[in-house]
Amino acid sequence: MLIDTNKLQKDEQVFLEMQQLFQSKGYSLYKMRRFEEYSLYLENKKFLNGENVITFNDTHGKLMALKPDVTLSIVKNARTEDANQKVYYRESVYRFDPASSTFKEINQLGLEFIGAISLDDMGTICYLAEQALSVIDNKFVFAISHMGIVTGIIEAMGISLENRDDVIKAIKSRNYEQLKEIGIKNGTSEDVLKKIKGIFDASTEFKDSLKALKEASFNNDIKVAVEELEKVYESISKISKGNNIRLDFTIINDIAYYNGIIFQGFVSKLPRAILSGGRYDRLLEKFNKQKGAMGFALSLSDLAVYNPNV
Amino acid sequence: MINIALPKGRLGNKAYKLLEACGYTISELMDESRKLVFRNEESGVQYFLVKPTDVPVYVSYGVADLGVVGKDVLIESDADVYSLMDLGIGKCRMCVAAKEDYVEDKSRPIIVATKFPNIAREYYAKEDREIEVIKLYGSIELAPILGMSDVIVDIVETGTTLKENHLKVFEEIMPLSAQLIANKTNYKFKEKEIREVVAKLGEAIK
Repeated sequence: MLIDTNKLQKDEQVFLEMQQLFQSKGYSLYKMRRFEEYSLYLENKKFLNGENVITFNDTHGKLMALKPDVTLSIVKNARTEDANQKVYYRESVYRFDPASSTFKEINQLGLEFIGAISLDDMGTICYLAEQALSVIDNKFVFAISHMGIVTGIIEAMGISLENRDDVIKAIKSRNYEQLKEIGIKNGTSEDVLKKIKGIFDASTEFKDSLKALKEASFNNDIKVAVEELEKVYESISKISKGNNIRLDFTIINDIAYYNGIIFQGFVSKLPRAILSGGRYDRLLEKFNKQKGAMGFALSLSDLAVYNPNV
Repeated sequence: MINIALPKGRLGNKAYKLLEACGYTISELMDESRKLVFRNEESGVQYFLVKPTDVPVYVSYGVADLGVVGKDVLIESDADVYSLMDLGIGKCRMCVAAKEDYVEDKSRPIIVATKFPNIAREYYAKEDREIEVIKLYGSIELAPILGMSDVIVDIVETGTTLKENHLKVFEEIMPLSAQLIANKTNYKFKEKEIREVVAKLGEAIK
């Protein structure tokens, strides 16, 4: 009997369709234990945004945790001597939800590439993320950015480490006035501020935004960002129509772990990003593994609003 | 259709005046009606009148694309939204105030009464000062008068209330004014319309 995927619950439909696509691009299913030692999360608390973790003692008295994240486990277990590791997973993670002040089980579909990542590989990962969004809703936005933009702005503004978080906050909230105020206090030149304003003023249409970034190329970080974004966009455009791709510099992941391309996905029926990911070589460095890494995760639990009426 | 959450009361009325000047009008008079939703197909806008502290909530959940909210409420809520522009209305200051003869006792934590515990905690953390917070919902000035707190962290507009109660400002934490905020997802789907609102408002407040 053939299954009509349109009649399935949305999370099942997305999983089945994406599983096929992931496998066709050489990714294989990764299954993991439900528990991890708590120390893994304690040592990488920042990667989890200071997330609370549910802990318990196992039968030998060891402190264990219900995993709040999958990427850390995959990275920890990645073997440096192996060739490229390309995996996808469907796992539950347990996180604290501030809105309801309780822990929530979130079912995630994700993909990770650990190894020597080429520009085309990056393009393919972005394409797969974009496809996952299109399976959920034809009204979607795949918003891409680069960590070099934020590090470039911080450097050009001459911001000290202690004021860095304020700059990131201002960029994340698209608040140019706030950023300018910080700049003036820190002696940022008028020319740099003017160029940054150009980035804020541009729309998120890929070409419009890229043009503003090119005009503002005040240092190497931004130049590298522009170059990579342009090449990855070309690479995605080769396989997808690319109509829903935007360049949004307000997307920022943690500087301590992420570098290079980062992205988020949005669908019309959900008020928050449903998908997020990017390049995170710095996390591997923390595990003393000299390899590239990139991936994304999508919350299947949030898809109930798309379920067909039963 | 652009959905805008406005705070009920004086700030909301001022914000509506600005939006009206940009052509986002509605026919009914908002302050004389008990209605909560006002819609105008022609100017492509729908307003919701909500409690000021709820504006960031309506915007975070995306039912409102845009919202007008005091910086105090926005910072206190820590909502993950865009803050697109300062509307230059509802200007006042977030201050630390206490009885006129107050002298800080550095041997113990400061007891702070406030409607804004997050702002108070963040401010004193930067000062490396330990505090105990008493969360109140109104008439904050009463707390130091009755000896329940050492200081208050509150909004000061003219300072008249403080003066009448023999309190005075000891520190200014930050200047405040109304912000135009936007839901990050809706911004992506309605970018053209939202940018148009921002551009028109920019002209209106020049």
